[in-house]
Amino acid sequence: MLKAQSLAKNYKDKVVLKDVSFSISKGEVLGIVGPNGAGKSTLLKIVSGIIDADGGEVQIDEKKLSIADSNSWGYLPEERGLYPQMRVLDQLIHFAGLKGVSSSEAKKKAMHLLQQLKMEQYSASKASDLSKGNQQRIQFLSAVIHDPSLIILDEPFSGLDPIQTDWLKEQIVLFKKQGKKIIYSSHHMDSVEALCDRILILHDGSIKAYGTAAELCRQPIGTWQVSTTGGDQAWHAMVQVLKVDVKENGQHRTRFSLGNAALPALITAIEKGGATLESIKKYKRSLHEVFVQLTGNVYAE
Amino acid sequence: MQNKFWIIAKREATVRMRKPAFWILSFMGPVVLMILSVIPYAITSSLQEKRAILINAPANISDQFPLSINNYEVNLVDTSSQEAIGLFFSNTQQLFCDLQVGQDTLWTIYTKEALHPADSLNILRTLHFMGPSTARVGSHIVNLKQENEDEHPFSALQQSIALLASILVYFFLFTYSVSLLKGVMEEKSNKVMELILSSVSPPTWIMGKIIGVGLASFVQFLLWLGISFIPFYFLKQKYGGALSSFSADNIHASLHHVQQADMGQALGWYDWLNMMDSIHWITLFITMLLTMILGFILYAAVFAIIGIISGRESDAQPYVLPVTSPLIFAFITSGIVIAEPDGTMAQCLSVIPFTAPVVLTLRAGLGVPLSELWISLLSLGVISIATVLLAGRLYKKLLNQGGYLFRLKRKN
Repeated sequence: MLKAQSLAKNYKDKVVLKDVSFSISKGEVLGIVGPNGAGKSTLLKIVSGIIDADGGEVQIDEKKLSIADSNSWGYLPEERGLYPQMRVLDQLIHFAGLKGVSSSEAKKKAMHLLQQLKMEQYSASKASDLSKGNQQRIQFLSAVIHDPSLIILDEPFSGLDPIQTDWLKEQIVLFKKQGKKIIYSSHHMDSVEALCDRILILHDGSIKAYGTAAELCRQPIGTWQVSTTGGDQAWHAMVQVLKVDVKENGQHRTRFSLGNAALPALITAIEKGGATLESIKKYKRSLHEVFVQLTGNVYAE
Repeated sequence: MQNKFWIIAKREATVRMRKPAFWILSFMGPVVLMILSVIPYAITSSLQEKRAILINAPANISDQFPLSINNYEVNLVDTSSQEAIGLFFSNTQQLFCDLQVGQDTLWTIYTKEALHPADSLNILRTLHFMGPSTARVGSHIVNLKQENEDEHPFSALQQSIALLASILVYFFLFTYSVSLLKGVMEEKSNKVMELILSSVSPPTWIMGKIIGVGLASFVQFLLWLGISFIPFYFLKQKYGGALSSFSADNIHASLHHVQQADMGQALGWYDWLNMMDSIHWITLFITMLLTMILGFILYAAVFAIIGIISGRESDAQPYVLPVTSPLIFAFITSGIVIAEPDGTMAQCLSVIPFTAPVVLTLRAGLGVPLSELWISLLSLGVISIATVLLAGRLYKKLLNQGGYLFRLKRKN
């Protein structure tokens, strides 16, 4: 298990992380979301041993994280990089070597992975000769070639086309099934919601929310989403009859926080207002909405 | 499982050694080196002033003398030995040859300076064919050179070799330190750095890079030395035997026993081969290798620091001159070191790690024994290792502080 406890990080007088704690067990995927500058990359750099936290600590299997144990994790940085003039196969062998894999074993693994990706024809190509998408795939392979138990991915979907994105999602699911711990940051809320067992929303270096997608998107009981037709006059009449705060108003659709018992009154009000009820359903927030709600004022200034 | 440090070092070395430029420089460098070593000698030889030789011999044989022997203009007199010696000391001639004719014909050669073997051989050869043909000819050389004479202790060639060796050390230190700087900047710009630093600590990364680049430079350095010595080796093999004939003990016997052709060719290479023998090669090699290794570690670590604190290659450029200025300063003061390799200045510059690589090599080339240099080499080694550790810590600090070692406060 990976456990981060009360992590804090300052760059001079700027607080980058404050009291950040989380844990990941085997076969779990943790998604880290937050606006730009929220501290996601800093957090992942601490977890991958590149920088030290000013406070708190990271433990892997109850042992303090140390660069000496770096063979157990693989890290894909946000700013991708390969040696432009180095052959693809040599790069994979080199990075595997830095994770403790022998040259011969690394060569076998690299060829196997390239074959799986149908990229074996590029093994002798220089990285600079590959397309951006293929370079990203090689970078991903560099991070996982040594079969780490913890995979740390910083913005893994950025710059990928939809097909490559699907491929990467499949890889994450595959690694999860293999029992690996995966932690990744992303702005792709849909993929985070779909792939992650737990989600951590960071804002200004602090945790704004942490839990499963269901926990984060949960609403007070009795939040309903209502759609009506009948024009603006009917809509205003309905709202007047209901005497409730309108949380969202557009396209004659709104949300009401009402107890189940008040539902008949709602329907009556709609009819009295001259509107026609189109649909009424229990409202479930998306992660995107939760994110915007929690961090929405970030660009207000 | 390979050591991560060696994996980084191996990549750094192979990347450089795979480039065609590496091998072109490896084989062309020694040629340039040899040309550079020939030029000072050629200039010195061409600028050598004409010397004069005073010969006291009876008038009946004096017309047999040539107008000059080697680089010596012949001045003839026919007088008593005592008067001729007086003339010799009152005039500027460097040599005085006095002929005493008795049962045997004996030439006595007085010299005010060390006589070059090529000159002594040709003068003796000329003198031995002068005089009465029936007499046995003999000769002996009287050296009048004062021990305390104010003469430069090192030959121009020895100085050239010492200076050339220190230039070589400087060249390798500078070239490969800049190469390392570019490597650091490249890894920063192509963003490989973070991938590496998630696997190894900054000191391991820096040491790996330094050793890798150092290995490439070391291979090239050895190639340069090896290739440079091939011609000397063959010349020595071919003429080494003939050269022993020019020693003071053998020179008279050589006049009769050594083939004229062999001697003539050997004489052509005399200065080079004699120079090879006069240099303390083992001391020079060991010092060069140690200053190369330790000096490179020091300068490479400093250049790595420059690479670490600079955002772009253009940001790094302003630091290069100040950092290498101690080496340049060592060259500026090389005249003082050459004049007095054991002097205060030479010793002070030897213990300063940043000037030590050049000064120590210079001193070793001038014959200062290794036993007098080891303290300076030790201090250079200690400072070099400390600088590598400092570079590693500095980089870790830089990473931990978000890319800034220090931040200037802005005044609003």
